[in-house]
Amino acid sequence: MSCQEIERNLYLYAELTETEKREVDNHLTTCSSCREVWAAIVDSQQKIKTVAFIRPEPENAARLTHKIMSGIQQEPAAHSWMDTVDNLLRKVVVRYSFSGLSLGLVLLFVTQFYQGSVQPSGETPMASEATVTLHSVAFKQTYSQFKDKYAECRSPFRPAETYRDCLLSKIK
Amino acid sequence: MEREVEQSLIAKSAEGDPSAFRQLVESHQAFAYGLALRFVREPEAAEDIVQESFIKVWRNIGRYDSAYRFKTWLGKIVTNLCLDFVKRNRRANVILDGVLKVQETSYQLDDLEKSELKEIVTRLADQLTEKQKAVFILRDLELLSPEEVCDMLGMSSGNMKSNLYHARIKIKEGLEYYYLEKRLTNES
Repeated sequence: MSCQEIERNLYLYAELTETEKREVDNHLTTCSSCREVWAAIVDSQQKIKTVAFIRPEPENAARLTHKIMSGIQQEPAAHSWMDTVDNLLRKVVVRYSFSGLSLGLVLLFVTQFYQGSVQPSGETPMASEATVTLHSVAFKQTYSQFKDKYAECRSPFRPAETYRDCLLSKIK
Repeated sequence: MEREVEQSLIAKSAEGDPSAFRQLVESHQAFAYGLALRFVREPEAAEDIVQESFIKVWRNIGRYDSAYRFKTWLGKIVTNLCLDFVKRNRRANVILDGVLKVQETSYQLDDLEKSELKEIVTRLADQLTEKQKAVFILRDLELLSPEEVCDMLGMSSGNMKSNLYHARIKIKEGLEYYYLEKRLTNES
């Protein structure tokens, strides 16, 4: 490792791994210029540590506590039922349960779909007048028959009334 | 405060118990205030930031993740509010001069030197970039672990080290310059 790399590591000595520290220590035993840099870094670190131990304290701790607590009491009810639900939904167990449930539902749908119980069957009887269920296959079949049978009634040049009368006459 | 006691107080606070929350405030407000004052250098502003931080904690205590230390979570909130404050008011270093001078007169000689050192380190920290200053305060002045600093600032280990490296160089050079200048002034 070069002196330049060692110098960088000297500034970050406390953050180095044990192996890196050993490497730096070994270098320092043989390099006098890096030892000088190290001495200056240690000096500044000691000065900074002195400042670190001067802990700023609030002028009146009890007053600060009172100020904080009075600020909290002015807060609207933070712990409503919505917070409880929100907190519940944030729990990992609940999240995994919901994910599992969703996945299960998707699998159920896919299985049922390929078994045919979800897909409409073409053998289902035509919808009667009283039925409002849309049956796509039956609808398509009826429409294609209807399209051919009543094709001659269709014309872009005829008014809607004429088209309706034509259809009625065919049906009758 | 023991972790178990702290967790119990957090759970009670999440249920809306203000007396439990008061105990959390009493045990952590000194840390929050110290951290805030190192950033903003104005006692009143530091108190406001501490109050706002604890209100945020109260509002969101139900979302507290017990995987992290409460102190780390609180420190993160305080740091973010301080950084917002510093962005808004870049004149903080002018304001505290008077306050420090008043305090200095009540110290003995040794304390005077310490106070002078504190002042110069604080001034040098103000000249750092926002990230360098945050890393320097949390790691070197608040003496938090590298992992805690990364958690509080949402930084990778490499990014934190890089900022810390540059911060330490600038502070060291600033201190050397200051003491050299002082020695030369005394000699002349």
